[in-house]
Amino acid sequence: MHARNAGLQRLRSLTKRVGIATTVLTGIFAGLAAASNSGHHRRPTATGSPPGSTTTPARAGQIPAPPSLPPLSGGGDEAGQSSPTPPVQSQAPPVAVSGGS
Amino acid sequence: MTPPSCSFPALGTTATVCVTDAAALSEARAVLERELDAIDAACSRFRPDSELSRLNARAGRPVRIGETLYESVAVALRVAAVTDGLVDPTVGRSLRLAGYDRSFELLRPGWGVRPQFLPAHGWQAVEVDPEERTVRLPPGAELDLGATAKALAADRSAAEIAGSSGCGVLVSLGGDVAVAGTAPRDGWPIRIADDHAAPLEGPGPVVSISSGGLASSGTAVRRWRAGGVELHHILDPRTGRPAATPWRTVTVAAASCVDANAASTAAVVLGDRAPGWLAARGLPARLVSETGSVTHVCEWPLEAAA
Repeated sequence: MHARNAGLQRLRSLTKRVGIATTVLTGIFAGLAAASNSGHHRRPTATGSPPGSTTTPARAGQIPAPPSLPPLSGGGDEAGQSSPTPPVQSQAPPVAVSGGS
Repeated sequence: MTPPSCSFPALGTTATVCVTDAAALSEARAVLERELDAIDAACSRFRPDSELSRLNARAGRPVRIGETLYESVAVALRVAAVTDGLVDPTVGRSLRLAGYDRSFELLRPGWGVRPQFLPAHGWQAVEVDPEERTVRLPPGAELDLGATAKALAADRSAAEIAGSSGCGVLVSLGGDVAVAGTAPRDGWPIRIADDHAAPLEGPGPVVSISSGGLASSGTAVRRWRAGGVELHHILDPRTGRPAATPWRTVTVAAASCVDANAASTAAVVLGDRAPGWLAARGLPARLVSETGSVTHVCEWPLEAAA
Protein backbone atom coordinates (compact mmCIF):
# COMPACT_ATOMS: atom_id res chain seq x y z
CA MET A 1 0.00 0.00 0.00
CA HIS A 2 2.82 2.29 0.93
CA ALA A 3 4.60 1.51 -2.29
CA ARG A 4 1.40 2.17 -4.28
CA ASN A 5 0.94 5.59 -2.67
CA ALA A 6 4.57 6.47 -3.34
CA GLY A 7 4.16 5.47 -7.00
CA LEU A 8 1.04 7.63 -7.37
CA GLN A 9 2.87 10.54 -5.77
CA ARG A 10 5.76 10.19 -8.29
CA LEU A 11 3.27 10.02 -11.16
CA ARG A 12 1.51 13.22 -10.01
CA SER A 13 4.86 14.96 -9.66
CA LEU A 14 5.95 13.82 -13.13
CA THR A 15 2.67 14.99 -14.67
CA LYS A 16 3.09 18.39 -13.04
CA ARG A 17 6.69 18.76 -14.35
CA VAL A 18 5.62 17.73 -17.86
CA GLY A 19 2.85 20.35 -17.75
CA ILE A 20 5.28 23.06 -16.67
CA ALA A 21 7.80 22.05 -19.33
CA THR A 22 5.09 22.08 -22.01
CA THR A 23 4.05 25.60 -21.03
CA VAL A 24 7.63 26.84 -21.06
CA LEU A 25 8.42 25.24 -24.42
CA THR A 26 5.22 26.65 -25.96
CA GLY A 27 6.32 30.10 -24.88
CA ILE A 28 9.81 29.62 -26.28
CA PHE A 29 8.59 28.41 -29.67
CA ALA A 30 6.00 31.17 -29.86
CA GLY A 31 8.78 33.71 -29.25
CA LEU A 32 11.00 32.15 -31.89
CA ALA A 33 8.19 32.13 -34.43
CA ALA A 34 7.44 35.78 -33.78
CA ALA A 35 11.11 36.69 -34.15
CA SER A 36 11.53 34.83 -37.44
CA ASN A 37 8.37 36.44 -38.88
CA SER A 38 9.64 39.92 -38.24
CA GLY A 39 12.73 39.10 -40.33
CA HIS A 40 10.57 38.61 -43.43
CA HIS A 41 8.96 41.99 -43.34
CA ARG A 42 9.38 43.40 -46.84
CA ARG A 43 9.13 46.78 -48.38
CA PRO A 44 6.49 47.10 -51.03
CA THR A 45 7.96 46.07 -54.37
CA ALA A 46 6.80 46.10 -57.92
CA THR A 47 6.52 42.61 -59.33
CA GLY A 48 7.35 42.28 -62.98
CA SER A 49 6.69 45.92 -63.67
CA PRO A 50 9.24 48.39 -64.92
CA PRO A 51 11.10 50.19 -62.17
CA GLY A 52 10.06 53.75 -61.76
CA SER A 53 6.57 53.12 -63.00
CA THR A 54 5.16 52.21 -59.59
CA THR A 55 3.60 55.29 -58.10
CA THR A 56 1.22 53.89 -55.49
CA PRO A 57 2.92 52.00 -52.67
CA ALA A 58 1.30 48.66 -51.99
CA ARG A 59 0.67 47.30 -48.54
CA ALA A 60 3.16 44.67 -47.40
CA GLY A 61 2.23 41.28 -48.81
CA GLN A 62 0.02 42.77 -51.50
CA ILE A 63 1.22 42.40 -55.08
CA PRO A 64 0.69 45.70 -56.86
CA ALA A 65 -1.27 45.63 -60.07
CA PRO A 66 0.93 46.18 -63.11
CA PRO A 67 0.68 49.74 -64.34
CA SER A 68 -0.63 50.50 -67.77
CA LEU A 69 2.25 50.64 -70.22
CA PRO A 70 2.59 52.56 -73.44
CA PRO A 71 2.24 50.33 -76.47
CA LEU A 72 5.03 49.89 -78.94
CA SER A 73 4.66 52.77 -81.31
CA GLY A 74 5.68 53.75 -84.79
CA GLY A 75 8.32 56.34 -85.59
CA GLY A 76 8.54 59.55 -83.61
CA ASP A 77 11.03 61.69 -81.82
CA GLU A 78 10.90 59.81 -78.54
CA ALA A 79 10.04 56.33 -77.40
CA GLY A 80 6.38 56.17 -76.55
CA GLN A 81 5.32 58.91 -78.93
CA SER A 82 2.99 57.92 -81.65
CA SER A 83 3.63 60.08 -84.67
CA PRO A 84 4.37 57.61 -87.43
CA THR A 85 7.17 58.52 -89.78
CA PRO A 86 7.53 55.36 -91.81
CA PRO A 87 10.73 54.73 -93.73
CA VAL A 88 10.86 55.81 -97.34
CA GLN A 89 12.59 54.22 -100.25
CA SER A 90 16.04 55.70 -100.88
CA GLN A 91 18.43 55.78 -103.80
CA ALA A 92 21.29 57.14 -101.71
CA PRO A 93 24.30 55.01 -100.82
CA PRO A 94 23.53 53.35 -97.48
CA VAL A 95 25.46 54.29 -94.35
CA ALA A 96 24.47 51.18 -92.40
CA VAL A 97 23.04 47.70 -92.86
CA SER A 98 20.19 46.41 -90.73
CA GLY A 99 19.95 42.66 -90.55
CA GLY A 100 19.99 39.80 -88.12
CA SER A 101 22.79 39.94 -85.58
CA MET B 1 27.53 63.43 -99.92
CA THR B 2 28.03 60.47 -97.60
CA PRO B 3 28.02 61.53 -93.93
CA PRO B 4 31.28 60.97 -92.06
CA SER B 5 31.29 57.71 -90.12
CA CYS B 6 33.44 55.17 -88.37
CA SER B 7 32.97 51.51 -87.45
CA PHE B 8 34.64 49.23 -84.93
CA PRO B 9 34.00 45.84 -83.34
CA ALA B 10 32.00 45.85 -80.09
CA LEU B 11 29.68 43.56 -78.11
CA GLY B 12 30.47 40.68 -80.44
CA THR B 13 29.24 42.64 -83.42
CA THR B 14 29.97 45.87 -85.32
CA ALA B 15 29.33 49.38 -84.03
CA THR B 16 28.90 52.25 -86.48
CA VAL B 17 28.40 55.94 -85.82
CA CYS B 18 27.58 58.53 -88.52
CA VAL B 19 27.24 62.26 -87.94
CA THR B 20 26.16 65.20 -90.06
CA ASP B 21 29.09 67.30 -88.82
CA ALA B 22 32.56 65.87 -89.47
CA ALA B 23 33.99 67.85 -86.56
CA ALA B 24 31.80 65.87 -84.16
CA LEU B 25 32.89 62.40 -85.28
CA SER B 26 35.79 61.92 -82.90
CA GLU B 27 33.79 62.87 -79.82
CA ALA B 28 30.83 60.84 -81.10
CA ARG B 29 33.00 57.73 -81.26
CA ALA B 30 34.30 58.39 -77.75
CA VAL B 31 30.75 58.70 -76.40
CA LEU B 32 29.71 55.48 -78.12
CA GLU B 33 32.73 53.59 -76.81
CA ARG B 34 32.01 54.73 -73.24
CA GLU B 35 28.39 53.68 -73.56
CA LEU B 36 29.32 50.27 -74.94
CA ASP B 37 31.85 49.70 -72.17
CA ALA B 38 29.19 50.56 -69.58
CA ILE B 39 26.57 48.31 -71.14
CA ASP B 40 29.02 45.42 -71.47
CA ALA B 41 30.19 45.70 -67.86
CA ALA B 42 26.60 45.87 -66.63
CA CYS B 43 24.64 43.58 -68.92
CA SER B 44 26.89 40.87 -70.36
CA ARG B 45 25.69 37.33 -69.61
CA PHE B 46 29.08 35.96 -70.64
CA ARG B 47 31.36 38.04 -68.43
CA PRO B 48 31.69 36.52 -64.97
CA ASP B 49 32.55 39.97 -63.58
CA SER B 50 29.50 41.71 -65.01
CA GLU B 51 26.75 43.04 -62.79
CA LEU B 52 24.24 40.82 -64.58
CA SER B 53 26.28 37.71 -63.78
CA ARG B 54 26.30 38.77 -60.13
CA LEU B 55 22.54 39.30 -60.19
CA ASN B 56 21.91 35.93 -61.87
CA ALA B 57 24.13 34.18 -59.32
CA ARG B 58 22.06 35.61 -56.47
CA ALA B 59 18.61 34.68 -57.71
CA GLY B 60 16.17 34.47 -54.85
CA ARG B 61 17.62 37.47 -53.00
CA PRO B 62 17.21 41.18 -53.58
CA VAL B 63 20.37 42.61 -55.13
CA ARG B 64 21.22 46.29 -55.29
CA ILE B 65 22.48 47.17 -58.76
CA GLY B 66 23.95 50.13 -60.63
CA GLU B 67 22.02 52.61 -62.73
CA THR B 68 22.92 51.15 -66.11
CA LEU B 69 21.81 47.61 -65.26
CA TYR B 70 18.75 48.95 -63.48
CA GLU B 71 17.66 50.90 -66.56
CA SER B 72 18.38 47.87 -68.75
CA VAL B 73 16.24 45.62 -66.55
CA ALA B 74 13.50 48.24 -66.50
CA VAL B 75 13.51 48.46 -70.28
CA ALA B 76 13.53 44.66 -70.63
CA LEU B 77 10.53 44.32 -68.32
CA ARG B 78 8.65 47.04 -70.19
CA VAL B 79 9.37 45.25 -73.47
CA ALA B 80 8.14 41.98 -71.95
CA ALA B 81 4.95 43.70 -70.86
CA VAL B 82 4.16 45.38 -74.17
CA THR B 83 4.93 42.20 -76.13
CA ASP B 84 2.82 40.04 -73.83
CA GLY B 85 5.92 38.10 -72.86
CA LEU B 86 7.00 37.26 -76.42
CA VAL B 87 10.31 38.96 -75.59
CA ASP B 88 11.07 37.90 -72.01
CA PRO B 89 14.36 38.63 -70.21
CA THR B 90 13.95 35.57 -67.96
CA VAL B 91 14.85 33.44 -70.96
CA GLY B 92 18.49 33.44 -69.75
CA ARG B 93 18.43 29.95 -68.28
CA SER B 94 16.64 28.61 -71.36
CA LEU B 95 19.40 30.02 -73.59
CA ARG B 96 22.12 28.53 -71.40
CA LEU B 97 20.50 25.10 -71.33
CA ALA B 98 19.99 25.25 -75.10
CA GLY B 99 23.76 25.53 -75.42
CA TYR B 100 24.17 29.31 -75.86
CA ASP B 101 26.24 29.58 -72.71
CA ARG B 102 29.17 31.64 -73.93
CA SER B 103 29.97 34.41 -76.36
CA PHE B 104 28.77 33.29 -79.77
CA GLU B 105 32.27 33.36 -81.26
CA LEU B 106 33.26 30.66 -78.79
CA LEU B 107 30.48 28.25 -79.72
CA ARG B 108 32.04 25.50 -81.75
CA PRO B 109 30.36 23.65 -84.61
CA GLY B 110 29.06 20.34 -83.30
CA TRP B 111 29.19 21.59 -79.70
CA GLY B 112 28.88 18.43 -77.61
CA VAL B 113 26.38 19.69 -75.04
CA ARG B 114 22.97 18.07 -75.43
CA PRO B 115 20.48 20.94 -75.40
CA GLN B 116 17.64 21.04 -72.94
CA PHE B 117 14.54 23.11 -73.48
CA LEU B 118 12.85 24.76 -70.53
CA PRO B 119 10.35 27.62 -70.68
CA ALA B 120 11.38 30.99 -69.28
CA HIS B 121 10.54 31.64 -65.64
CA GLY B 122 8.26 34.51 -66.64
CA TRP B 123 9.03 38.20 -66.37
CA GLN B 124 6.13 38.82 -63.96
CA ALA B 125 8.05 37.05 -61.19
CA VAL B 126 10.90 39.57 -61.22
CA GLU B 127 10.62 41.95 -58.27
CA VAL B 128 12.04 45.45 -58.45
CA ASP B 129 12.29 48.10 -55.80
CA PRO B 130 12.68 51.53 -57.39
CA GLU B 131 13.56 53.21 -54.10
CA GLU B 132 16.31 50.82 -53.11
CA ARG B 133 17.25 50.11 -56.76
CA THR B 134 17.17 46.39 -56.09
CA VAL B 135 16.08 43.50 -58.25
CA ARG B 136 15.08 40.07 -56.98
CA LEU B 137 14.91 37.21 -59.45
CA PRO B 138 12.87 34.14 -58.59
CA PRO B 139 15.09 31.25 -57.43
CA GLY B 140 16.69 29.53 -60.41
CA ALA B 141 15.88 32.33 -62.84
CA GLU B 142 18.53 33.96 -65.04
CA LEU B 143 18.13 37.14 -67.05
CA ASP B 144 19.35 37.62 -70.60
CA LEU B 145 19.24 41.20 -71.85
CA GLY B 146 20.46 40.42 -75.35
CA ALA B 147 17.12 41.34 -76.90
CA THR B 148 17.11 44.87 -75.51
CA ALA B 149 20.47 46.05 -74.12
CA LYS B 150 22.13 46.59 -77.48
CA ALA B 151 19.16 48.58 -78.78
CA LEU B 152 19.09 50.57 -75.55
CA ALA B 153 22.77 51.38 -75.96
CA ALA B 154 22.06 52.61 -79.50
CA ASP B 155 19.22 54.85 -78.30
CA ARG B 156 21.17 56.21 -75.35
CA SER B 157 24.36 56.95 -77.22
CA ALA B 158 22.55 58.53 -80.21
CA ALA B 159 20.65 60.83 -77.87
CA GLU B 160 23.78 61.78 -75.95
CA ILE B 161 25.81 62.46 -79.07
CA ALA B 162 23.05 64.58 -80.60
CA GLY B 163 22.62 66.47 -77.35
CA SER B 164 26.27 67.24 -76.88
CA SER B 165 27.23 67.94 -80.48
CA GLY B 166 24.04 69.50 -81.77
CA CYS B 167 24.30 67.58 -85.04
CA GLY B 168 22.39 64.68 -86.52
CA VAL B 169 23.62 61.19 -85.63
CA LEU B 170 23.02 57.57 -86.53
CA VAL B 171 24.25 54.75 -84.31
CA SER B 172 24.11 51.16 -85.51
CA LEU B 173 24.96 48.27 -83.21
CA GLY B 174 24.84 45.06 -85.18
CA GLY B 175 22.08 46.44 -87.37
CA ASP B 176 20.03 47.88 -84.50
CA VAL B 177 19.83 51.50 -85.63
CA ALA B 178 18.97 54.62 -83.62
CA VAL B 179 18.97 58.14 -85.02
CA ALA B 180 18.77 61.46 -83.17
CA GLY B 181 19.15 65.15 -83.88
CA THR B 182 18.45 66.71 -87.25
CA ALA B 183 18.80 64.07 -89.95
CA PRO B 184 20.25 64.72 -93.41
CA ARG B 185 17.68 66.21 -95.81
CA ASP B 186 16.73 62.83 -97.28
CA GLY B 187 17.09 60.91 -94.04
CA TRP B 188 19.59 58.22 -93.10
CA PRO B 189 19.79 55.55 -95.85
CA ILE B 190 19.95 52.00 -94.49
CA ARG B 191 20.21 48.77 -96.43
CA ILE B 192 18.05 45.85 -95.29
CA ALA B 193 19.65 42.39 -95.38
CA ASP B 194 19.45 39.02 -93.67
CA ASP B 195 22.80 39.64 -91.98
CA HIS B 196 23.90 42.99 -90.56
CA ALA B 197 27.46 42.09 -91.57
CA ALA B 198 26.52 42.17 -95.26
CA PRO B 199 28.43 44.78 -97.29
CA LEU B 200 26.92 48.23 -97.67
CA GLU B 201 26.84 47.84 -101.42
CA GLY B 202 25.30 44.34 -101.35
CA PRO B 203 21.81 43.29 -102.41
CA GLY B 204 18.70 44.35 -100.56
CA PRO B 205 16.41 47.37 -100.49
CA VAL B 206 17.56 50.73 -99.12
CA VAL B 207 15.19 52.78 -96.99
CA SER B 208 15.77 55.98 -95.09
CA ILE B 209 14.54 57.10 -91.70
CA SER B 210 14.70 60.52 -90.07
CA SER B 211 13.83 59.74 -86.48
CA GLY B 212 13.40 56.89 -84.02
CA GLY B 213 14.91 53.52 -84.76
CA LEU B 214 15.00 50.60 -87.10
CA ALA B 215 15.95 47.03 -86.22
CA SER B 216 16.00 43.57 -87.73
CA SER B 217 15.74 40.15 -86.15
CA GLY B 218 16.21 36.90 -87.94
CA THR B 219 17.02 33.26 -87.81
CA ALA B 220 19.66 33.30 -90.55
CA VAL B 221 22.43 34.32 -88.16
CA ARG B 222 23.63 33.09 -84.76
CA ARG B 223 22.84 29.49 -85.52
CA TRP B 224 24.68 26.61 -83.90
CA ARG B 225 24.52 22.87 -83.51
CA ALA B 226 24.30 21.26 -80.10
CA GLY B 227 23.81 17.55 -79.50
CA GLY B 228 23.18 17.07 -83.21
CA VAL B 229 20.38 19.65 -83.25
CA GLU B 230 20.39 22.84 -85.37
CA LEU B 231 19.45 25.83 -83.22
CA HIS B 232 19.07 29.60 -83.51
CA HIS B 233 19.20 32.30 -80.88
CA ILE B 234 15.62 33.56 -80.84
CA LEU B 235 13.91 31.33 -78.31
CA ASP B 236 10.19 31.19 -77.73
CA PRO B 237 9.97 31.98 -73.99
CA ARG B 238 6.84 29.84 -73.73
CA THR B 239 8.71 26.67 -74.72
CA GLY B 240 12.41 27.47 -74.35
CA ARG B 241 12.92 26.17 -77.89
CA PRO B 242 14.13 28.14 -80.90
CA ALA B 243 11.07 29.89 -82.27
CA ALA B 244 9.35 27.89 -84.99
CA THR B 245 8.69 30.69 -87.41
CA PRO B 246 8.01 31.21 -91.11
CA TRP B 247 10.15 34.38 -91.06
CA ARG B 248 13.81 34.49 -91.95
CA THR B 249 14.20 38.21 -91.26
CA VAL B 250 11.83 40.81 -89.84
CA THR B 251 12.67 44.54 -89.96
CA VAL B 252 10.63 47.12 -88.05
CA ALA B 253 10.71 50.93 -87.81
CA ALA B 254 9.52 52.44 -84.54
CA ALA B 255 9.79 55.40 -82.21
CA SER B 256 13.03 54.05 -80.77
CA CYS B 257 15.55 51.34 -81.51
CA VAL B 258 14.40 49.47 -78.39
CA ASP B 259 10.81 49.39 -79.63
CA ALA B 260 11.87 48.44 -83.15
CA ASN B 261 14.01 45.58 -81.87
CA ALA B 262 11.35 44.40 -79.44
CA ALA B 263 8.77 44.33 -82.20
CA SER B 264 10.99 42.57 -84.73
CA THR B 265 11.94 39.89 -82.20
CA ALA B 266 8.33 39.47 -81.08
CA ALA B 267 7.28 39.11 -84.71
CA VAL B 268 9.75 36.26 -85.26
CA VAL B 269 8.42 34.47 -82.17
CA LEU B 270 4.79 35.14 -83.08
CA GLY B 271 5.09 33.55 -86.53
CA ASP B 272 2.08 33.67 -88.86
CA ARG B 273 0.22 36.18 -86.70
CA ALA B 274 3.07 38.71 -86.84
CA PRO B 275 1.78 40.92 -89.70
CA GLY B 276 -1.53 41.50 -87.94
CA TRP B 277 0.20 42.08 -84.61
CA LEU B 278 2.52 44.68 -86.15
CA ALA B 279 -0.29 46.38 -88.08
CA ALA B 280 -2.42 46.66 -84.94
CA ARG B 281 0.41 48.62 -83.35
CA GLY B 282 1.01 50.86 -86.36
CA LEU B 283 4.53 49.59 -86.88
CA PRO B 284 5.90 49.72 -90.43
CA ALA B 285 7.63 46.42 -91.08
CA ARG B 286 9.15 44.19 -93.72
CA LEU B 287 8.96 40.43 -93.20
CA VAL B 288 10.92 37.99 -95.34
CA SER B 289 9.79 34.38 -95.25
CA GLU B 290 12.04 31.33 -95.37
CA THR B 291 11.11 30.99 -99.03
CA GLY B 292 12.10 34.61 -99.76
CA SER B 293 8.64 36.10 -100.19
CA VAL B 294 8.30 39.59 -98.74
CA THR B 295 5.39 40.97 -96.74
CA HIS B 296 5.05 44.71 -96.06
CA VAL B 297 3.11 46.07 -93.09
CA CYS B 298 1.67 49.56 -92.61
CA GLU B 299 3.52 52.09 -94.72
CA TRP B 300 6.71 50.22 -95.39
CA PRO B 301 7.76 51.37 -98.89
CA LEU B 302 7.27 49.04 -101.80
CA GLU B 303 10.45 47.79 -103.42
CA ALA B 304 11.46 48.23 -106.98
CA ALA B 305 11.53 44.96 -108.91
CA ALA B 306 15.02 43.48 -109.05
